[in-house]
Amino acid sequence: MKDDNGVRRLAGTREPANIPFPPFDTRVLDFLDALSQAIRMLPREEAGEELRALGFWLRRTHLLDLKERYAGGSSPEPENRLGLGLSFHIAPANVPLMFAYSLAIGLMAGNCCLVRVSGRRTKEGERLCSLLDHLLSEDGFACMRERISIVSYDRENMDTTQAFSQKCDVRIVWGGDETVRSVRNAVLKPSAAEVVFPDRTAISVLGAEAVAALGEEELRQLAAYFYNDTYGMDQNACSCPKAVFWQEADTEAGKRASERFWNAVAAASERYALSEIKVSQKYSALWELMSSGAKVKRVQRWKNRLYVVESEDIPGEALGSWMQFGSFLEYHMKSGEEWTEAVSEKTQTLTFFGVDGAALRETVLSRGLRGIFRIVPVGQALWMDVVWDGKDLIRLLSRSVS
Amino acid sequence: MTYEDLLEQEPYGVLSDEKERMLGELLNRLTERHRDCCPAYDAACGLLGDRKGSRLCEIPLLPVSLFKKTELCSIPEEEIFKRLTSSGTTGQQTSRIVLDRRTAEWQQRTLERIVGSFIGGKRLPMLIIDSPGVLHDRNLFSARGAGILGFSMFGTRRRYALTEEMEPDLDAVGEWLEAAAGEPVLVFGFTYMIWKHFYQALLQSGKRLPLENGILIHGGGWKKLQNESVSAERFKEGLREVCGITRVHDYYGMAEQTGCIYMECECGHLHASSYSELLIRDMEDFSCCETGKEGVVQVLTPMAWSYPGHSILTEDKGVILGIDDCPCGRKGKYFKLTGRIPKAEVRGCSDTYEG
Repeated sequence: MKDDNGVRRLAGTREPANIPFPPFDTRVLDFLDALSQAIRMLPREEAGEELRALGFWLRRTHLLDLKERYAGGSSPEPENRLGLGLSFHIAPANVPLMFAYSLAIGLMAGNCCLVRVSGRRTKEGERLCSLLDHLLSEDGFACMRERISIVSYDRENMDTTQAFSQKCDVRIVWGGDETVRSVRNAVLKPSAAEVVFPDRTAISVLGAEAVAALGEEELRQLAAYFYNDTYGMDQNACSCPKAVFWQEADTEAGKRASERFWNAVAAASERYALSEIKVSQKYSALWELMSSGAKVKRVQRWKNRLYVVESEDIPGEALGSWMQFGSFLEYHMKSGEEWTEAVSEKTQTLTFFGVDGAALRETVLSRGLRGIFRIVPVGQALWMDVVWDGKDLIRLLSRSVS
Repeated sequence: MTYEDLLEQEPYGVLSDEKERMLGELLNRLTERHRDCCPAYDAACGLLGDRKGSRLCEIPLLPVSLFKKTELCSIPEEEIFKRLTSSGTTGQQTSRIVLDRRTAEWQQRTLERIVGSFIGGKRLPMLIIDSPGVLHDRNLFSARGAGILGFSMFGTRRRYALTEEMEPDLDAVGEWLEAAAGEPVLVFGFTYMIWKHFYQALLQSGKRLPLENGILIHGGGWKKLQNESVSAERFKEGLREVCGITRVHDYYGMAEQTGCIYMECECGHLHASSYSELLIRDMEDFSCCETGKEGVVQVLTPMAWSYPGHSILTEDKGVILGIDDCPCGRKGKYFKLTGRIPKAEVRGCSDTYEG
């Protein structure tokens, strides 16, 4: 049911308060852990992979790990920090549970959270909202009632975005360039901060020797991880790799590793929900790429489940825009560092296997690359963290009291 | 054999096996030609893998959306006779099709052969269910205007049935019909326009038009009418009620293969003519679907000489109903369309704000 302003409450209060807590406050962690338990108690058929992953992410031990990261060393103690007050989150429509991660991070940083989610209703999203409401009705969590507000309204309803933007102390905008541009028309109050997540892309660096040396079971596992990183989000999220760079001692080794790897990915992709529209778009994009004049050496297809385009030139971000729904560029490196030339300020994530992650990070730092915000092993591309896109969200959503 | 020779064949007189042989030869030669003359097409075909074979299902499938993204051309610049554009679905980019004189002429003759077999060899007085403004408005011209111009060659004494305001001009149409004096007339228009601005307006006015001797040919798709829950049966029934017309033929066609249309027969089936073929593809692996199995429509015609559009994978879904044995007597494949490929939600984080 929408109110007079065209806003529908999905969970929590319609009028969130503005009361800062210290980051990682026990009351917040207790609540999130209770939510984690509630999710994990759901019968399998009610909790899909994504909801279970959220439940896992919110479990107390993980939250305490996060807290620990801010406790030691040179960083100011969380006790000396407070949330900014009210955080306004604009969550992506097509990553159904992203709003929950954004909410959890906002709460952990010590804020009251107002979260706008898409009107597209998903079963998991609705399940989660009803769990939230159920927990908030418990006496033990009365202190959280004024801190959570999940609402939905039309994107055309700029008046509401404007009103929320005037009210909040920080605005968090997830999603593409266009969304960021559009939301920026709503003016924030002068003291408010903003954190935005524009369009990004990702690449992979794989070590040919290591892939070639894998046993069958290990290979299957690697392919499953790679599958989750990419097909899991239709290869369409910021951190889903579009291009694979092979680090290899010689051409033969590279060829063998590539063949093994893609065959295993093709097998893993059998579980992908491949719809006609996805094939139509993916096949059209392949033709566009092939007829674009780009230097393509070879195209391999495993039915319409997996396309692999071997590029003769270092595949930059322009080519990447064609890769979706299980379509990959690959490039065999000569020096082992050509991947750096594919990096732009839009390159967010680098996943790796069989190469030294620390050395990759060193390369990014020493060369002063414009892009690459995180370097993670294959399988962790979509793992959410409180540091995202190079931004420490706990810090950005709280203030220090020195 | 050339396409000219193919056009000599009866539009619905060739058995499927024989047609496969004739088209196979022509289409394979055409693939070679386009590869020789269109570098972008050649690059793509080369990368897809050289599958030398004479079977229709082995000819490279070009996705229809490619014509929206890039201009594909197999003729030298100086032979370009005109560029055809199509609006496609509302709000999308337009397709650009490059024609030389030969292809443009073939398009016209193909349409003539196909439609002629439904309305007879001679031109008929023609009533166009649209507004004359459609030819002047550059935005509308592309799809509707081109259809009207294409069919106009079958008509004499052409009369637009709608005013500039898209209201039926009943007096003028009445007079025009009197002059036809009970002779057969051709009625042409776009499915949705006919329903919205002709049928519904007539129904509301309570007047009838005596079109018992009319042959209605309409196209342009059912999407909008499906949204209003109007079935093909309801469409025919409604028109019979307001103007007594009983001979109603839907057709399926696209700007990327203009002229090579698929007409609906008296049994309500769409038919492939001798000049083109239709295959249904399973999107899992592009294997060909047997009769009765739904999939995505591929259209093939050797008519596409000036641009590599002789084998196109569309975004429409359909199912083959039978081959060579339609009760209407026409040979070749007959089929029905089952809608567009459904849009599905795509994941990812690029359009956050939507919905």
